[in-house]
Amino acid sequence: MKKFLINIAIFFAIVAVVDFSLGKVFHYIQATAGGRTGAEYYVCKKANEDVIIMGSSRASHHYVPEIISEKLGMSCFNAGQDGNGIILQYGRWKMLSERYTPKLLIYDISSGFDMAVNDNMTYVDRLKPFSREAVVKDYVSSIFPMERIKTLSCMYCYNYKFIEMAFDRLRNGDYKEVGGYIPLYGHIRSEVVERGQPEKEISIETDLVKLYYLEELIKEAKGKGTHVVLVVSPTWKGGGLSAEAFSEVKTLAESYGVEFLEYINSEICDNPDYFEDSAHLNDKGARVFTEDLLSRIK
Amino acid sequence: MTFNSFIFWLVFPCIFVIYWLLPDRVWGGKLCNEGIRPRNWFLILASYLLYANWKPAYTLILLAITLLTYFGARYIDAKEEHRKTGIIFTFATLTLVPLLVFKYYNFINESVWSLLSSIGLRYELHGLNWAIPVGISFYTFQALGYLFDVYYKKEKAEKSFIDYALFVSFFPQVFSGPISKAGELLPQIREKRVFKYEQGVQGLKYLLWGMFLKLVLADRLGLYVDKVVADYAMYDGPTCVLSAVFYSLQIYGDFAGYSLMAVGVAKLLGFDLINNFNRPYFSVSITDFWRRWHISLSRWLKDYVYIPMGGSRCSKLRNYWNIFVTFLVSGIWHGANWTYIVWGIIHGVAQIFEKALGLNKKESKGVWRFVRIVVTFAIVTLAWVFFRMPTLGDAVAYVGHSFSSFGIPSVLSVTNFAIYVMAIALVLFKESREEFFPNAFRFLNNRYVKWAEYVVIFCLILLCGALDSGSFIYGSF
Repeated sequence: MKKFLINIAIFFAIVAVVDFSLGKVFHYIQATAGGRTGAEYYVCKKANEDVIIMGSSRASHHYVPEIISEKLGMSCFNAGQDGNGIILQYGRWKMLSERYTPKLLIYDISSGFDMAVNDNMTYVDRLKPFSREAVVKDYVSSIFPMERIKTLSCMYCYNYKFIEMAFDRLRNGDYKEVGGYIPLYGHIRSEVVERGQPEKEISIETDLVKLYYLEELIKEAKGKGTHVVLVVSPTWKGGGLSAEAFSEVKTLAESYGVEFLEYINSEICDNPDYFEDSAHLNDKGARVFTEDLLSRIK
Repeated sequence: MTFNSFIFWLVFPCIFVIYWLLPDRVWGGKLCNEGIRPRNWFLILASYLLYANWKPAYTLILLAITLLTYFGARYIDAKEEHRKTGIIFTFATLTLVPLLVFKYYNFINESVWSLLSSIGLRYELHGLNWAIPVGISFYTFQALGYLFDVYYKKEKAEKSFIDYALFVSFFPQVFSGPISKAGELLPQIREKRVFKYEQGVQGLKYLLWGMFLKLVLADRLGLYVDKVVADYAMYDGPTCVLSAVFYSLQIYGDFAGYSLMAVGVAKLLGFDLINNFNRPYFSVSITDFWRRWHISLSRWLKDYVYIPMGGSRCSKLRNYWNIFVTFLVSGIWHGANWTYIVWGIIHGVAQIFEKALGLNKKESKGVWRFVRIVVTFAIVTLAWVFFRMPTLGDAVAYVGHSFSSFGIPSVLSVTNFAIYVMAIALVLFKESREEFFPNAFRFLNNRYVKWAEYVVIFCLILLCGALDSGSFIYGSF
């Protein structure tokens, strides 16, 4: 038994050394990569723009920083992230707000990522590489207590993402030039257009965890003097959702006196030229939408 | 609590340490001449607590099946020969009741309702909205196997209830097998266990490779498969074909991974369980496949369904019928859905054809062997489509759609695809080496190379595994 236990201890000691070394390598790659990895690192560790846009892929494809900067005369960065919502963005906000206070925060509300019940573990995944930061560690382990132990391993923190990071390091695509905005140039498929209005309204079971952190984000941003705007950006034909579906977010916005702007029944939603697919605007649509939004923000 | 959950890996070292610190046997006083077995008591406690962690109330079902088969076996053992048939029938039926109610009630109810409504009769019974107790098919079959063994006089009825309760509830296997035979596991429970270094090391190796199969191969491939299957009409034919092939590998990684982990955990506790898989995708026929896939279930079906029906010691036609029924039972065992039944029928019919053509006993070498492996894999993959899809209609449509166009399959995610390629290449290398070139690459047997191998596999699990992912596919059976 003694030999067995000693061998196990040696094995884990070797793994710990490898883990530590790989952690250093991955951290270097992350800090020097371009593309989405670079953009992510920038948002968390370097961004100092006056206007920050947060939300899901809809945020990253719908808001054009170039127009916002031009119209408002303020610098702007789009921190929208594919397949993510408030759970990721609140963690990012914690890092970002430790460093500086943006003047304006535009948060794009997505029913799936900011309201609906689903696996929140997926959304903390992109925060794990930053878990050396105390604010991130505390935040992530407040939702998933076991993460405090798991994130001790660098390999766990960079699980799967290291390949993506390596690709981004090799490609080194520039994200700063476009302010984090990812333009789409396609057009919505004709079958989707012909299908017309989605038949029935999709009901959403609200995730109280997401709603709690959305409230925390609003509270903290307001407390620091950041002007907060919550936006439900256009979806093709309103995406089968009514304004009612966002009533809880609207109530939240009203209770903290922040702006809530929704585009559910907007004319933009009915123009197929503006859409890449039913959930995302293309570049043409994004520009029209951004201009319109700026005219509505008080 | 499954082997891929983080909590299990926090709990298991505690179980391991406490288990080996406990004495194997202590004096039991006048009440217990043979002494008390603290380790067995502890394992029962751990097994029931781990089971209760999932749904506490369902431990009562596990206990009920244990009590029923324990007393049933003792009763059968004590009765005269001519009265045993009725008794075994009664106890076997009673043992099957929870399985039938939880797993098949809704299916039977819906099927009967559809049949009646097609002739204009609409009498509906309410469906059950209960979760199926995890592992119920496995521990029911294990307990039932013991009952039959006592009936067929292959085993004596176990006197110690504690030993028998551990046999049914032993936590490494209660969730998804392997289905052990009483003759294999009960003697190990009875005898004194001492920690053996080699057995412990072997257990860790199994655990490590099982983890790799589950987290890196199965769960990563599952991301591709789930995406395609959920919306297969949106993907082209080659992508659907690739997804079907990936599902074959996913289910292998998932189930073989679980089984290896179960065997590994058991070895660390001083038990040897049956190895459930033996490189099944290198089978040269469906008959061969069933000698290598889910070996413990195949053996159970052979011993308690196929042979009692007459096996192969009967007319050809009767033998074909026996094969057909055995695989029908196998399909039904897997789940209450017509898709599983068709899956079982495909395997049964394929074996009947092989038997009729004499392919089941034909040895092959070289290119011909390779061709047979590919053909067998194709049939198995086709059958898995029925296994995976929610309805028969979907399965047929999926197969049709798979051949509707030709070209290069979609990768979906370059990052994930890089992991698929790495994981498949590694598994293929390991398994082909064991299957075809057991004496090649001898440098891999070097102690330091082996250590490096283990560290690399462990790191790959942490770096590429779909950590925090869902349950095992076979956990729902």
